[in-house]
Amino acid sequence: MKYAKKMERILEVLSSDEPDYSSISDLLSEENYSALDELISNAPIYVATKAIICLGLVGSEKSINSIAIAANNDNPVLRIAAAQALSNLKGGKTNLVAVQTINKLLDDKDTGVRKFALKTAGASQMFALKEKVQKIFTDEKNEGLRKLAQSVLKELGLNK
Amino acid sequence: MNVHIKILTQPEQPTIGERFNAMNKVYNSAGIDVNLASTEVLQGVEDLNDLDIGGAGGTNISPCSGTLTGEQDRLSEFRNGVPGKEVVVYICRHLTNANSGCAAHPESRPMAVITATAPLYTLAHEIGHLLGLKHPGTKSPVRLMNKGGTSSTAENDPLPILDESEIKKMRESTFLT
Repeated sequence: MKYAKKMERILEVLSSDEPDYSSISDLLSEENYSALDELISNAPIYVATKAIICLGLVGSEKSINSIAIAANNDNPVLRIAAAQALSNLKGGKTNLVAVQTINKLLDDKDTGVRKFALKTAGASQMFALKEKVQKIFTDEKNEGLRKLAQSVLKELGLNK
Repeated sequence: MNVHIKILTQPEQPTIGERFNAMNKVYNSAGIDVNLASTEVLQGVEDLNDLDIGGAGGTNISPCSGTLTGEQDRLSEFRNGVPGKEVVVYICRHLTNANSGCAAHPESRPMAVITATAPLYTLAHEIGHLLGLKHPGTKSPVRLMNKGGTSSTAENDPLPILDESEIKKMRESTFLT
């Protein structure tokens, strides 16, 4: 399939209410990276957040770096999408930047961002973050997040 | 049909009123009038504002696949006096993997969730699911129930359409009051 046709199909999914990412996973690769990055900056939020999720499915070093940049965005909804994108990395592979990004998002001032960063730490088996998750389990003020941290610790092999 | 709105995050544009007007333009073609029966700002459920609707992580990343998450189940309990057969729509800040809406619900508590940043017709699309409609097999971007949503996202776009079989199905729904 030609690039323009691929992008047309990807944009169709990104504009949809209930995106079927699996239907475009074969189309997502390094060649779409720049277009997805552009959407994060310029598209409406409901498209930009889906573009971030797709960057995770691209899963290249460049795309993970872009997710890390999105994780610094002022809009917490984009930071949540960044946290989630890192749980969907192609082939389940994480790298140092992904772990560092989740480590930072676990300290985010926004409860929703911390919640989805915790979920990714567990789902992606980020063992390097065990101590941070343990600290959330003991110190976090939000009861729901403390319970979530407890279940993430179990996923990381610490019985609490 | 009575629909009740519970707000966890206040939508800016389109407003709730604009979403209802758009929905009624489509639904009136089916002889259905959707009434905004009540609006309530929900308090004490901040942890559900960014809602897990399933599907995150691993290879199956498409959420809202029909299996209800614990968070959806918990949210559905905040009906606050809404009669059993009337629909509640919760407006959240974010749904798993950036879905704009989801209509999975417990059998006894009809509900849908949409995000505060969802496009104009997402509300109408999700209510369509509640009224028994599925995504059509044939692809036509202007259909309201097009898989993933209609291509019409603004007031000036072509009005999304329902076909005869969809209208018949909707009119049989027990959620019509």
